[in-house]
Amino acid sequence: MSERKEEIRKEDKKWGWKFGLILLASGIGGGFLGGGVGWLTDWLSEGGEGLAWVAEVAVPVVSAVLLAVVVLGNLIALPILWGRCKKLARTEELEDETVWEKLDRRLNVILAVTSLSICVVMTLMGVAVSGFRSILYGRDDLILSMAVTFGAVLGLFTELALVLIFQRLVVNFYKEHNPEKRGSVYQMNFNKVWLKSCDEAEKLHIYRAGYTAYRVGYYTCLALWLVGVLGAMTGLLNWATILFVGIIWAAMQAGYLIAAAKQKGDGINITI
Amino acid sequence: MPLYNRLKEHRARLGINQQELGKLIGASRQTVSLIERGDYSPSVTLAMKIAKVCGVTVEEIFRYEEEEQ
Repeated sequence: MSERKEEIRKEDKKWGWKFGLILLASGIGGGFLGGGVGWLTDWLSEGGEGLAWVAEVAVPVVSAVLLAVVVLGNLIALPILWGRCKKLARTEELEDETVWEKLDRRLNVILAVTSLSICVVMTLMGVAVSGFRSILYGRDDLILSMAVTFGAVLGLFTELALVLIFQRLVVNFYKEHNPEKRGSVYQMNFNKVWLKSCDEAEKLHIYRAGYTAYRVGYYTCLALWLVGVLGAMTGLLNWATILFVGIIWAAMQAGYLIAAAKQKGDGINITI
Repeated sequence: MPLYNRLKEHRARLGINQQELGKLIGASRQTVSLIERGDYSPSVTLAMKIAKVCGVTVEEIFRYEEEEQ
């Protein structure tokens, strides 16, 4: 036992000084950032009208344009990607295992594109419609305000339809070739039903990906918290940004801890 | 990975494809492919199901060898 304690002490010592260096570097960096905040605040207040125009008009308009680009891109790309999958999936070729591996990769690309696109489109739509009031009342431009808002909402619904159609095609394709798979994309609890029908290797794959997503989310929240605090200090952002980041961060942590604490099923019972 | 297997040989002997083997053992085609490539080590339960379907013992399909230090 004392040997093990000695190993633990050595490991702590090995990483402890590196942790100290990171703390020191963070403190120095934080000092520079804090000093820079004053300069940034002055610079922003001098920016005045120009910056206000960027925030209230340019950003929503650019977001609406980017949203249109993403949606149009998907309208063109997704049918092409699916067409290539269908071509590869001609029945006689599916006896070849290398064909299946290629097909899996292509189908995963469709799932990845649709999953990422919906996040991007919802974000861009939110930013675009945020300009509705400021463009309408601040710039007295009804046409621009309506065009940006209406276009953004239309873009969102179009993207939602595309995501639903192509994810349904991919899921149903997998279900045709894997009869044990269950769940319809129209179900509210589709993820749960699908997971239950996965075998042990697929579940492990999903759990690993989920844990990686949790870690990425954790560090993203940390970075956004820092941005939120600096933004609030300069007046660019208000406390709501920090609050929303905090809520997401806490929800992620709580979700992970609760799930880890009550792991059951398959004879596994993990407690912390 | 120190777990080697001859699953592909036994599957070829049975004359079935990955999808058909997957149906027999309650796993997906992708999982059978991962096991054959050595990218996934099945649980004891799944290994025993595979052995039963192939009509051999688990040791005749899977072999554990320690990696040399």
